[in-house]
Amino acid sequence: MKRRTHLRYIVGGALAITVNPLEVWAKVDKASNTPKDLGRLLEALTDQILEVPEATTTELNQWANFVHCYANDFVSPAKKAAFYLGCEKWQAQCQKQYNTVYEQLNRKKQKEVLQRLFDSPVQEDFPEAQQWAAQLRSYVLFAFYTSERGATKQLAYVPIPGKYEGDLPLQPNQKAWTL
Amino acid sequence: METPFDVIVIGSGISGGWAAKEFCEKGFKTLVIERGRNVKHLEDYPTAMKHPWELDQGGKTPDTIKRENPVVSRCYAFNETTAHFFAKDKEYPYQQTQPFDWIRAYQVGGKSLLWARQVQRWSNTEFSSPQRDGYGMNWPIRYKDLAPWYSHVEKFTGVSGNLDGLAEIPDGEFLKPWEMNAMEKHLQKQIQKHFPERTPVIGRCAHLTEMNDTFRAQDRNQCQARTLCERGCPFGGYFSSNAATLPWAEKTGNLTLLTDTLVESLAYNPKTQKVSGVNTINRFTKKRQQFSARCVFVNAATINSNVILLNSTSARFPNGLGNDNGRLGKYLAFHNYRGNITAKFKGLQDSYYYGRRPTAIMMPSFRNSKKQDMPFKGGYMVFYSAVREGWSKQVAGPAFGKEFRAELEKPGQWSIYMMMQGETVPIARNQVRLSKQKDNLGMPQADLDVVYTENDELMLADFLQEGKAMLEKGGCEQINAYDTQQAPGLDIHEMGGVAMGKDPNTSLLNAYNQMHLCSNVFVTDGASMPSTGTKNPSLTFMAITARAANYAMEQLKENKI
Repeated sequence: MKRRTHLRYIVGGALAITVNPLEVWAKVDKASNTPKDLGRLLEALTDQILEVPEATTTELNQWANFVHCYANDFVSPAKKAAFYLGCEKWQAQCQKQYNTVYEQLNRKKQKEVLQRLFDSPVQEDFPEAQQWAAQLRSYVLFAFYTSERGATKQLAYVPIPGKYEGDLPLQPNQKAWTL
Repeated sequence: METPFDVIVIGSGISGGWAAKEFCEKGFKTLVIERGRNVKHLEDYPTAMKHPWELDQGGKTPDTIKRENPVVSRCYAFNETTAHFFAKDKEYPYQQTQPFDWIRAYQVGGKSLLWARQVQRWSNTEFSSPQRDGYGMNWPIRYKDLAPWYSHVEKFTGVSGNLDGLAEIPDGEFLKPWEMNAMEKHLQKQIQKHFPERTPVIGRCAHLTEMNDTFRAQDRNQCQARTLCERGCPFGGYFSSNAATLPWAEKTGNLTLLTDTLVESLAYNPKTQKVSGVNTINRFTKKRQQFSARCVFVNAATINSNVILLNSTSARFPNGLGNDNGRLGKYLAFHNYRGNITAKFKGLQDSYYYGRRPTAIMMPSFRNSKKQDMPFKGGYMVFYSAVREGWSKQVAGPAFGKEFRAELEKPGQWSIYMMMQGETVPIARNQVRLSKQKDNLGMPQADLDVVYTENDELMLADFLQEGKAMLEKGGCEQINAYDTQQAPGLDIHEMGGVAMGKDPNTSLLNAYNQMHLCSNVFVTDGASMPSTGTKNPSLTFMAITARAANYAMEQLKENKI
């Protein structure tokens, strides 16, 4: 599924414009065997991983959507399956421990639970947790740093440099260049 | 036969474009036949100005595309922004008796839109070492024969570089060089200190680093240091047939460009002992048509030039045009790119750079330069570059959140990449044949049967050892030297099969790329190369094409062909 096509579905769903989100997610779910609340889960995880206070709801939605597109379109079937299975296990673990899904936890709790995920080499009932966390984070970072905010506000994006200067003193607070 | 054309050029890539320019400029009516669609400079670069967030896939290649097109997906330049310029495996099947990653670009301009744009003159060593050390085939020319033609093409193409004064990498008509960054300078200094015979220099590339009247006349502009080159450059900052030679030829009024037309074979006339026509198939209508001219330049790119000639059979030449000696399609060679090294450097944290440079640091071959003193034949160039790591780096500290992101967004430590470009020895068993399988137009598919040799393995081992040693002396850490194990072909430097030479018993073409046994046919792309040298080949393709075209013009004027 193309990023922008999918974007229309998600934004359409979120803003209740023209697309029935349940129908869209049903299609996605059927294809990828993902949890029904995947969109909300990925948004919550993306929000925690990036922690961009100034991000709008639409931006967060776009980044989360692109994470889904990444997992769905860009990786091997094995990695794709592992990613979505990880999402399911993660939710199941949250459900077991907190009686609710991840996105329903308050922000402080979300952070705490995520911290535990990255810190602990082995998670109960979820032995692949570390690999899943790394996979998730790499997708989130790609989505973010190829977005307009990520590239232009958080990194130094210069579409047309016009020249190359090879040896410059590093400026205070210099941001890394994007591609 | 009456014909409106003096010359037919098969293919519009880097060498075909040069043939068209030379002939049209001198008043010869020229038909360029291109199998793919037209790609007009500026008009047909749909992704050239797109920001990452404007791309559906963020610039990446979907997994389904990779699985459907495993060969082309392995090319470093193939992604969402460039896929439209590559021939897809699925659409253009070929046979691989041995694995060969054949990367193709079927449109006007061919691979000149996608090439890596690194251009170095070959040294005299490269032209003479096959004869000196007894491998491959002997070149019928030497550096001095090609030097004026290197100058000729450099002045029009635009080549940035430094005047380094090294015999192993002769200087040319250079525009101002790109700069090295602090890490690259550091490594240059350390390598020269510890290995005096090894000389890293800034890369030479076909990018305009300054303007002059020649480039203004081509409506090209200075390179903007974007390095989005493979999308097609809206500034004309790098050389391509589309930006330079073809528009130039078109301006003369002598160019006819026929697109979407595959050349099937050349028709040989035994009475005249020349080619009388070029047999073509329209890829949409499948209509067959013959075009004729006094002279034919075959520039379909190495493998396809071989295929066309192998498919040009007649009672006189049952094994392919001009192929009495049975060498057509054989002695294919390429560049060995299997050696890669990565490393990190912790120092020089106070230095950064601005912009994106379209070249790297290059080190001419330091092996077998004066005589063969290594257990392998031929040599290898080394390329390296250094950048400061960006957001994809590993960071210590928090694993997510604002502080984690802040670390990612700072320039990281220096990351160094080094690679080899090794000469491979042409051998008879490495060849392209015609398969019994045909494509959708009825053209026999290429069957590629090319392998690495023991020579390549020895050279690879030497590079991995020496490259590591150079980086160690440069103070680098986390050095990882490895064999990419890539198949032949992914270097996209395939050469040979229709080699030049002095002796018709051992070669197909003479010193002017003219077929020994069919005087009005010239082959001037990579197929004509008797050996691969260690340098990037495109500048040499351009120079031998210009040289051969001007020779052919004299022959045409004197009615010798």
